[in-house]
Amino acid sequence: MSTLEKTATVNKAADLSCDIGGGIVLKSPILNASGAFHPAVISQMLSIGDVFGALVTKTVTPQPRAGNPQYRAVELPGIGMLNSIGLQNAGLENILEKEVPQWLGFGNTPLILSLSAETPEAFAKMAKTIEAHALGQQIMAYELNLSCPNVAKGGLDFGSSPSLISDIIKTLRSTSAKPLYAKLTPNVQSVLPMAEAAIKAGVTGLVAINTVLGLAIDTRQKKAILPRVSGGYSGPGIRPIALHHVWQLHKAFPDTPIIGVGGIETADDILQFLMAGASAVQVGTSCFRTPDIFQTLHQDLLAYCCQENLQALSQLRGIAH
Amino acid sequence: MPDNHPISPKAPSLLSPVQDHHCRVIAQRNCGPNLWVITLESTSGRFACRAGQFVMLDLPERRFFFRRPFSVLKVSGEHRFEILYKVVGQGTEMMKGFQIGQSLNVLGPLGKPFPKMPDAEAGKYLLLLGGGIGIAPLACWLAENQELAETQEKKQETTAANHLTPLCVFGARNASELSIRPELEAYLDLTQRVFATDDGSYTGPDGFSGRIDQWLLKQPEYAKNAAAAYICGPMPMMRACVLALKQLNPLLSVFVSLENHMPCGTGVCSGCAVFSSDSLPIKVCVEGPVLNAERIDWENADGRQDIQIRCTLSESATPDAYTSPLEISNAESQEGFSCQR
Repeated sequence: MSTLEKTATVNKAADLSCDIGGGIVLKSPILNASGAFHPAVISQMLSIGDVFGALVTKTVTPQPRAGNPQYRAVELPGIGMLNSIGLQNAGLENILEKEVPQWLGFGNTPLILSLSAETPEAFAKMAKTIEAHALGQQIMAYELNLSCPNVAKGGLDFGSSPSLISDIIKTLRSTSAKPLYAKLTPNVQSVLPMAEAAIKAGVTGLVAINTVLGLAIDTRQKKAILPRVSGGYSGPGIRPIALHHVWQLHKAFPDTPIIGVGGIETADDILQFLMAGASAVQVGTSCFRTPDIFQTLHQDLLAYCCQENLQALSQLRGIAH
Repeated sequence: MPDNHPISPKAPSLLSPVQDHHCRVIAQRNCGPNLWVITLESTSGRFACRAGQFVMLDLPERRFFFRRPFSVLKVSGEHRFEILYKVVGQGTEMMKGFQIGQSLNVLGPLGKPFPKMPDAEAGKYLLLLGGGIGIAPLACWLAENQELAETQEKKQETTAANHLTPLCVFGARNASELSIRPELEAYLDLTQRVFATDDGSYTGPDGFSGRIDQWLLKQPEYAKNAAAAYICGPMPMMRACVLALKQLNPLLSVFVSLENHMPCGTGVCSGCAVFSSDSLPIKVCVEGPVLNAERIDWENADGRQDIQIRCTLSESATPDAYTSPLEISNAESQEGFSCQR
């Protein structure tokens, strides 16, 4: 047997599956981050069904949103990017009719719908609408976008209020039986009270972290580049921040599944998140330049398991603590 | 609007698969101050591109997070194509240094092309207005339609519908930036071309001292007798031309190629979206980049009056990419960074 064949055999045996709570075991810990990726675009470049544990849609709101004026995105060479898209989306009804069928069209890859709304009741109403729809059953879970730093609102940001987080999750819990994942903002003094509120209210798992508030100034114009001044910072520059939060969350709530997200570019980055306590990860910014990065990450994880003679990748969860 | 134009307001929101072409650098040549033409060859399959479509070129270095969008200048055979670019930031600075034989990934071709030759019923001319490196997709259109015309002649299928005369008005800040003028002269006779320079430094018989919109207003018979106009260039130049054309010929069908920042280029991220005249977002990368000018809210398309000029760059995160306020007031500038898509 050649080395190559041997590797292939061992690879096949390596178990990348991960338990993200709610009775869900994904066959791979690799997910996409909301808003940066669409499977249809890269469907010829890789086999979606083999690589992804689940797919996450861009954030859906009850009504269509036109989004923010230009600029909406700024590249920050070396460290990442800022975005201020403003949750542009076609609204729940349109997305259920037109977009969800396309998202569901990739083998049996589970679909997580990312939701955002302005009140707990509006969140619950969205869940009702979805579950009354013919495709509702095929949606595996909801990710709750509890913070979008670039959507201006008069009131308090959901993501920074434990009681609001608690209200949203309790209201949703009483409406829907689907697993709920709360995506936490790092733009708070501590994520722990937010996580605690979410867990007590019955959340299935946590997604950490959303983008970090950031700013870039055009020195010639002497003005902020983004019209809303600050935007969401993502990319490798936030990876240490994300890892810090995942570590803190896992330490405080070891039984709660965490999906780590922030600046992942390589399989080693994924391993760091798993070792910090994440069960799965999401990849966002890197897929702009490298849409098929998921394939590489998947292969490299398999190769790592093989090298380390690791039977199940999930054995690494929180191992660095 | 020409019937065969693929843009429909009812375009489905479904996204379609794109191909990442593995390409080799075949040639690279300088063609003016900071202006370069790079020739690429796909080793992963046929590169079937129409004028106005663009590619997302991957700069193989980890410091970059977005690919760089460029429209295609020329297609040769089934695998080769050229890109005209201006060095304006870290990314294009790096491109300038690409060696022959170097490989890189190119997503595309992407987006909606310029329409084919419109029907002649509505007028005598087709105006092709290009500012700076915005001439690239229009030069590509000329070559594409030249071939088409030749094929049709061979087939003796020339009909009245194809008897519009293309009239090109290409502008730049000065003569040295009229980078590919010699190549264009191969397609166009003296009556079909105008080269406008802001500073009047190009003095040939086909020269014009001033901006393209000024030329339009000075020679109103062309706009009045045109069937359509295709425009590509910096946003202020396009805005000025659209306004001039609407003034001269309100019924004229006008297509523009927008050049917004494009993080993904494939309709995923909405980073490039501009607002339509009825305040709906238009994803430039998939609904455009070629759009009917009527769809666009020209006052707010780029969102901010104060920085609107600057926004024609894909690279404006890098300080050297910015247009200075002086250039803005000067120019509706033929800044030449146009179509750095």
